[in-house]
Amino acid sequence: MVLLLTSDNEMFSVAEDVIKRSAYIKNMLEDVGESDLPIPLPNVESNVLVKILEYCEHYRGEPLPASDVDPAEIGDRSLDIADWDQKYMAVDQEMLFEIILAANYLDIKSLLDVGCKTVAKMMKGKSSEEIRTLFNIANDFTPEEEAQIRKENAWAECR
Amino acid sequence: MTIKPLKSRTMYTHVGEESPRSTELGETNIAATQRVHIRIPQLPVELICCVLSHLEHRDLLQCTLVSKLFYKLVNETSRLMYTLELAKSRMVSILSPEDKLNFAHRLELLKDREQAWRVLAWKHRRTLDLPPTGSLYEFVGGVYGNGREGDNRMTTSISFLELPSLGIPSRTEDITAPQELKLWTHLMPDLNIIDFTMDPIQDLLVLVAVAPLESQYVYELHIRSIKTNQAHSKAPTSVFPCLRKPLNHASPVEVITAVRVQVCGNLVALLIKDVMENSGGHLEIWNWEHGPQYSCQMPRTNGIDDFSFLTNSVALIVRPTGQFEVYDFADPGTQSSEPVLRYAFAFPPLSPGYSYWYISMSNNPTPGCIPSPHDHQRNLDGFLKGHKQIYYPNPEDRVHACCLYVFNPADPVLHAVSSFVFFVKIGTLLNPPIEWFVRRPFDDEDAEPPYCRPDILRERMKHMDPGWEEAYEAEMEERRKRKKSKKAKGKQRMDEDEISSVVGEYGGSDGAEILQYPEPEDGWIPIDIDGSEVQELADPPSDLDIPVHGFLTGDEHPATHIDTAGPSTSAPSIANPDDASSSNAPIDSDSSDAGSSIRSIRVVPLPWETWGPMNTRWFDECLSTDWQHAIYGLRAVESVEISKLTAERQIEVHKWAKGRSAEDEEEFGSGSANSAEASGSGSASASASASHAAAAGNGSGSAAAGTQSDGGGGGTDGGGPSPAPAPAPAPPPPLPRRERRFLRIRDFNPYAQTKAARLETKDHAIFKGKGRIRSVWRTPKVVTETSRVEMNGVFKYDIMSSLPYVETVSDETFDVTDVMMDDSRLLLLKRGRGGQLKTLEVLMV
Repeated sequence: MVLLLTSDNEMFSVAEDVIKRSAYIKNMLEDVGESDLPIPLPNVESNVLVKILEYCEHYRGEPLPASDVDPAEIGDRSLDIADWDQKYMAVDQEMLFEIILAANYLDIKSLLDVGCKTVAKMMKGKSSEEIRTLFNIANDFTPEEEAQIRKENAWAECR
Repeated sequence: MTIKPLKSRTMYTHVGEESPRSTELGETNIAATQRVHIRIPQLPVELICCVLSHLEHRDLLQCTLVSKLFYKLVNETSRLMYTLELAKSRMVSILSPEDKLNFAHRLELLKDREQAWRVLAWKHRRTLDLPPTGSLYEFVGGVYGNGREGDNRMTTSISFLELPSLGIPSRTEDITAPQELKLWTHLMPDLNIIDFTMDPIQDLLVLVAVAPLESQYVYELHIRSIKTNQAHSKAPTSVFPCLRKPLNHASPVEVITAVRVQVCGNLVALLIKDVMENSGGHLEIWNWEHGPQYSCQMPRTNGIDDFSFLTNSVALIVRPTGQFEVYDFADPGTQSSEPVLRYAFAFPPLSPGYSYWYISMSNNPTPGCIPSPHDHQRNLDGFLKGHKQIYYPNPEDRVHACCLYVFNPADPVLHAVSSFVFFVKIGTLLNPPIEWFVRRPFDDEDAEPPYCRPDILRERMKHMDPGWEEAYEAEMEERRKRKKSKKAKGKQRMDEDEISSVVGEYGGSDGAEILQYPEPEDGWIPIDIDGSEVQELADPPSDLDIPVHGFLTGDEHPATHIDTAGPSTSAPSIANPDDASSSNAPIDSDSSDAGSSIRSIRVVPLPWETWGPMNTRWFDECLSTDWQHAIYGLRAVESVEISKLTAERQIEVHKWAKGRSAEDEEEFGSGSANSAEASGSGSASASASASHAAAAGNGSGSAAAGTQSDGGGGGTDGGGPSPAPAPAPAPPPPLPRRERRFLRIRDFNPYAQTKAARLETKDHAIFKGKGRIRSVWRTPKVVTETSRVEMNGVFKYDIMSSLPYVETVSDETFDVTDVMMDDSRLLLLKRGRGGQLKTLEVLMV
């Protein structure tokens, strides 16, 4: 069992083969060896860690992704997400971003990927105005600037 | 679950002054509400980029409008910029997973090469030592394959020559260092090879051979490794028989015919243009990784002039009557099936008496597939290092060339062949606007709307205004009623619904018939068709219903369905062209005996006026170009005689073309005197004088005609109907000297027409320093206006066309007969009188 201490001082005891999905912790365990000391996670709150552990638990026993190839890198921009992952990611926006941050911090590549895909999927096909509304982003362009950018982007309209 | 918050256990350690908290739900929630809200702009930029990297270019462009932060991210992150740049170039990434080429470098390579193509600035040129050459050739994937004939005039060996390439230059590497090029030859003395194709990325070589005498089949495909000439490891068997011999046919069968073979990933298609004494065409598609037991077969007694894949499940054929047909087919990996017609597109109507000698099509690389990064890695890294590509033309965004050779069989001057080439984007053929098919109102109550397979029609109408479908249904209902009342005609037409699964042979239309269709509604398509000639059409035959036979099974030789009078590629069968329209309806008397389903289907192709003028671009004279290999993605290259270009551009080009002397520059008002070392593209001086220009005129045809029939498009692909027993039009008499030629690139990528693209090329190095005056010539010229190709009596009216493109012409002339291109090279070929290859020079872009 591995002990994890969250930023809000919650202690979690987790099976090693579950948490090894996090490359960060896996490396740390390999470096440090067996220890009773908890691993501090100053960037992760307990409610987020619960969620992260739910993910690791679900994929327990499945082989870790062999290659660190990013599918988007070779031109695969499919936003297909496995059913379970979709349900898992059905959380409020804030938790979604927390998961992405935590997955990045803990270096869980597959979870980071699913998180980013989920956000990308929310943006796909939306207009700039809809994206602003979606993420509550203020428009800091002047109308002239906006018109200029539309002009720059006009190439995409020609067939 | 192993996750459990360790509530009140003793080992609970706690740092800080606060007393240990419990993780009661309530408290956790309080903690959450006290956190600073995280919103997407507050994520670290690398994570926002990670999100954005999953988006397509359209979404990225929307993002640029969201906020300044997003604008900056999209326009300053190499990875996202690369996505946009690929979209502009209509390319997709094909880098193998193992490749670690960073995005900044990829972006630079792509931009650099795209701009170089736009101003025709090659970086390096090299003339190759050639292996002995023959008439069959193929150029795919950075390899030039050339067959060589033995004493019996059959191809007995094929040499493969790796072409030089700039590869993926690192920023420091010396690109001019000569590259070690592979050259290898495979002997095939035991086969009667009539054509071949290859796909080096898949290590694939496909030979088309005449089957041995004892075989029950006429042809065979041999699926081999291009490296070893052995059976390909992925093919369960290496020999794919094609076309059963007729049982009672007196041998020897005349088997040397025009064929076309094309590979699209794991699919391979063979088109036999003239099956047995010109009784039709036969197209067959296999999945070569699954073996020959299943295939998609398409015999057509009216003939098929050419074939191409459009996707890995859609094929395009062109009929000798001048008509495109688009078919869906199922992957023949696990079952045989019949291709099903989707749409048909009519060419402009020919004048009475004229026929197509032949029609050929080309596009490159084969649409419908993208090389798998795995194959790419495995077969190129240890084999053809130089041809590594990091991006590939988007299969959906391609230009397709169609060459038409028209003549009048009754004309005593038989060699008067008129030739035209037109370009069309494959999207037009794959996804024509649904409005073309449901256009209303129909002026002529008997005219049927153009054919669109009913299931597709219904599916696509769902996305239209609800009113459309209703109105269309009402219209069709109205027609059905009218038809019923007109039963006196004695023929039944099928309801659209009933024929959903029917496809098949139908009487071709020579253009005149199909134009019984009303002219497009006013204002529908802004075409400026000259005058009202369109309306002056021959009276349509009283009834065009035509018996259709279903697809033949393998046991029924298509040749048994004698096409008694249908038009074919051979001249004699259309001896009386005025009767052509009525004889276009083949009556296959034996098809019922053979058990084929006979059903009536009336396929009205989309009239030329509806689809053509806005979506094609026509040019005359294309005898000199083997378009098969002169297209890559959305670009096409041709060589053009000085005299022709001079006339076209109304510039006294020959003065320039003479040589690169200082006087020339003076003449054109340059202050800089020393320009002999003009821009980066070398400086072979042109020698053609004005008198040559005048004399040569059409003369290139002599060499070119040889090219066509001897070696066009992987051999017989581009060749005419060679087995046609006679009055094949003779090539024009040879003229004394070949004129030097300019190179001309036509780019149909819409991005090239934008101001942004023009600004990018304006600053290209060729427009700076020495030679800049001459280089102005290479400024891309945007052509958006409608052009007119004179009908010369061949067509019923002049052809207007307005597909926009960008044209760039070299400022240097070359002694070439034909020119080819791929992603990063121009191949300049010089042939002798007989069509044999003399020299091969490669310009690396």
